[in-house]
Amino acid sequence: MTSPLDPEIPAATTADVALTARANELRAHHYQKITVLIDRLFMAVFAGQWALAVVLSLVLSPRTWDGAASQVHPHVWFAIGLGGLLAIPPAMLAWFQPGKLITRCAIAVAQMAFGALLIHLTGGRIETHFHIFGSLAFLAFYRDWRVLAVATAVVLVDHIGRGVLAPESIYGVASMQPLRWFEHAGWVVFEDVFLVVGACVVGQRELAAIAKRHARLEQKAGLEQGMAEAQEASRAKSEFLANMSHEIRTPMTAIIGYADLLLDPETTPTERLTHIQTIRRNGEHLLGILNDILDLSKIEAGKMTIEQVRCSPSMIIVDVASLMRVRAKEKGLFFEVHYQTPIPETIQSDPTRIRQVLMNLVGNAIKFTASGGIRILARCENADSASPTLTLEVVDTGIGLSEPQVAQLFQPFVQADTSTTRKFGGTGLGLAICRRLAHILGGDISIDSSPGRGSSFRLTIAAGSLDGVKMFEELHEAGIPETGVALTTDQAIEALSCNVLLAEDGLDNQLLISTHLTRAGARVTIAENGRIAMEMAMAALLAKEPFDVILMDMQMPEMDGYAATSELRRKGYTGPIVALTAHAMAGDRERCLAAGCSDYLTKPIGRSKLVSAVAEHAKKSAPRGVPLLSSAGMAVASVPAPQPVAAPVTPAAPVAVESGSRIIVSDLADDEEMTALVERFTNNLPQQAQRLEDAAHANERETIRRLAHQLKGAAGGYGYPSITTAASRLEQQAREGETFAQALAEVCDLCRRARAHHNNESNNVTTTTSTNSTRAA
Amino acid sequence: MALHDASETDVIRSRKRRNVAWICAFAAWMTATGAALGALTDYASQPGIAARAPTSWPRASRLSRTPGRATLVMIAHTKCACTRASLHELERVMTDAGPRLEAFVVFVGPDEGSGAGGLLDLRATARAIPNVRVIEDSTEARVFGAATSGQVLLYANDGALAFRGGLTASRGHEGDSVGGDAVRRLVQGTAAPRAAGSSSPSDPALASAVFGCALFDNAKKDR
Repeated sequence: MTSPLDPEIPAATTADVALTARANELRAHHYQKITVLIDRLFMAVFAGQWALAVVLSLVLSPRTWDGAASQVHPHVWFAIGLGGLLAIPPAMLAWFQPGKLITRCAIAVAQMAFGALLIHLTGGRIETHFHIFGSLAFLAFYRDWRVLAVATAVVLVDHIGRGVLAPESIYGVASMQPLRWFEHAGWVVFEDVFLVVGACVVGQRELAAIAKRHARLEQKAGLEQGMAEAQEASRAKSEFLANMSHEIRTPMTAIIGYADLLLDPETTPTERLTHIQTIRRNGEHLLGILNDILDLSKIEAGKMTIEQVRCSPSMIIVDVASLMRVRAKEKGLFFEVHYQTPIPETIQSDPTRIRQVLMNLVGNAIKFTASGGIRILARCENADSASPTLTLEVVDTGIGLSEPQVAQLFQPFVQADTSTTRKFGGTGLGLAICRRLAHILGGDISIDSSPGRGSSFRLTIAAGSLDGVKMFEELHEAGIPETGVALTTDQAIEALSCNVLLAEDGLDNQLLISTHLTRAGARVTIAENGRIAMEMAMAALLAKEPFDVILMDMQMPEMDGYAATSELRRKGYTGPIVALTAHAMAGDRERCLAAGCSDYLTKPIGRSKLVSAVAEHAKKSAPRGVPLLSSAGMAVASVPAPQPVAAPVTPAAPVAVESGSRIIVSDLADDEEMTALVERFTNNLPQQAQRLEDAAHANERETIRRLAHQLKGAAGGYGYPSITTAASRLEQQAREGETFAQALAEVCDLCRRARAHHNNESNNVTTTTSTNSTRAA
Repeated sequence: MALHDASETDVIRSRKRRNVAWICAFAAWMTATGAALGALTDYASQPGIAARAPTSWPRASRLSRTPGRATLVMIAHTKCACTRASLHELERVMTDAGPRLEAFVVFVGPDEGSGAGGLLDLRATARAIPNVRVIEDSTEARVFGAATSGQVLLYANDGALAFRGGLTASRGHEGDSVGGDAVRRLVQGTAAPRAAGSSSPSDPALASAVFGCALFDNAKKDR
């Protein structure tokens, strides 16, 4: 829309380029707005002029006469017809093509032609000629000389044309006189000179100046806003670090303080145990904070991976209910689950994240409820629509929240009040994470609460398509035994009576898992790799003594768990195969299930979880004597019948605390049953460290990766999560070709210090004894 | 990339086609506007039937002419829209001529004799012009052979017809005109009778076209 008389604002220096570009953009935008506005104004002017022309014709020349007879005067028809022709098309252009040059030109032509029409209708009165001059001034609002040029051209053409064709009608003379036309049109040109200079040139310059000023102001405001945002970001970061620092320092202070107490030789064994439990509790709390921070960072960085699988909402509710009911009962609270509408058998979502959020909401409800109880209300909304939702409402009769408390409840590190942490614990991150997770799951969390009257937290999530999905009216219809998931260790031990094939290459995990299972009553056969496992499974099947469950490590030498499982399924094996993997990535589950596994457990595997899973699958497994081979399968012969492993190792003295500047203690230190196993694992750790170091000297990255992977999977199970973490880091660095020296040193150091503990344990006892003896002396 | 380019080219082509369509529509509209304005000018420039006026003051006329003084007779339709412009031009002529010229405006029309008044009444306008007498008499109009509203006949001091025609340049248009200019010059004595404007050798008077409504029914057919 730039006119040739208003060249773009020039950029003085390179630094001004951005400013100049913005100023030009603003000027063009402003000019466009002006022209559109004037186009619209002319639409109104045209309507008025058309009406005026019709009225004038009706008043001044309504009829034409032939003696006493009359008819409508042609002026009336011209006023209606020609007036419409002059008003409607330019008005349409102004409506459909506002701000365009063609619109402005059409308006200029129409406006001057309207002048001619009005002059005709008023009998050529000199007063009506002022319409022409007024119109030129009005057209000058466009600040575009081309518009004035077009309007002037219309006047010139009219005067010259009529001067030639009908001179008397315009000049009152019988024949055209030279330059007579200029005598008339010259006044129009005279006015044009002032309008072009005053309105077009000066007007455009003013527009440019305003645009430049505006651009400068914008630039200044942008800098100020940027500064304010940077300051706000810095403040938020400092606040976050201060909060985080505070949250981490609190448990760390307890850990260090109690560790110091442990170093005191006068501490009795009973006190030591109490101190260790305190340290462990604080360590768990710290780990919880770090996990929460990690979750929050992942979510806010957009790196939180969410699964989209068919999962059972009933199963999730039952899982959470089974775990939380015990805690509710401990506080004397009732705990109920109600279905308010039919609930789908499965939905499309991420079961882990739903469980995490629901667990958090129920955990909070129990935490903040002293009497009464908790209800989980489940309902499915818009089930027939394209976007059904599942709502899980956790209602409690607890202390409730005030409106200001509700308003800041989902802010990270903000709890209802500062005494909350002291009184109830928690990081203040849980609900912030929950709400963000709910958003990622396609829903939200909302709250109804009032102080003293309890709270209601509603988790809504997208359920995905429910076409053809069965709906359950009540929880029990789903057929999920609530206790099935939350079996205690003792119950599980009673429950197991089955044959299990454990395919696992790591000796430590072989021992740990087989011990857990044999103690629970199962008979365990071990295969060192996927190929042996496959052959054993098929041989047992042929011998009509099939395994009830196969536990399949997915990372094994020679033939891994994926290949072995696929091969077994290909041969028609239909029994349950449970994948064991140290990976806990989002896609692992799908990969294992795609290979043919029936279920999926991640290492380190807790005893109760392992036993529960085996019990569940053993129940589902076919009864004895029923072939576990589908008709498509073929048996493999000539494999020796599997032999159950020997009874577990005899329990030894409980594992105690390592003395030294940094203490590593097994989480299972207080579990007498596990002592012997842990000791055996720990004794083997220095050899593991030596193997890792040897492989590092030989630069055998793959060996390091494999050993680290085994250590990662096993150490957690023996109560050494720190070794698992370090080994995981080493595995990743070895796999991705990164420098791993530091991670290797850390793993080896941890292994040796864990082992050193046992050597020191007896020395400690000796030292303690000698000290006591000395005192006694 | 190729698809992207193709669609971009399509968009440009479609925009060009649209622009061409707008320009064609604009040109068509300009043409229609020009034609309509041309038709309006053409209508305004169509003269009425000229008077078959007596070449000397008719004896049958009942208008009392002052001997030895130039006399102008204008015959006008009481309802014709063009009459207003003719009267305005007559006013200019009479003002310029002063006492040298006397004039009669003879009104003819369906409301002849009613003497109707009102703001837009042409008779009132005529009466306001100096040295003008107004009558309403279609017989007088016929005596002077007039057929078109706005017909002006100028008789010289000796009673001879010096001019016949209209005082306006076109239908209902005020302003300079060939007829008005001729009358003014005749009265001032600067125009020679029997000039180039005379219609025929037998008709010595100056003449111009007259623009206005027909005074009598079927006047056009009479021509």
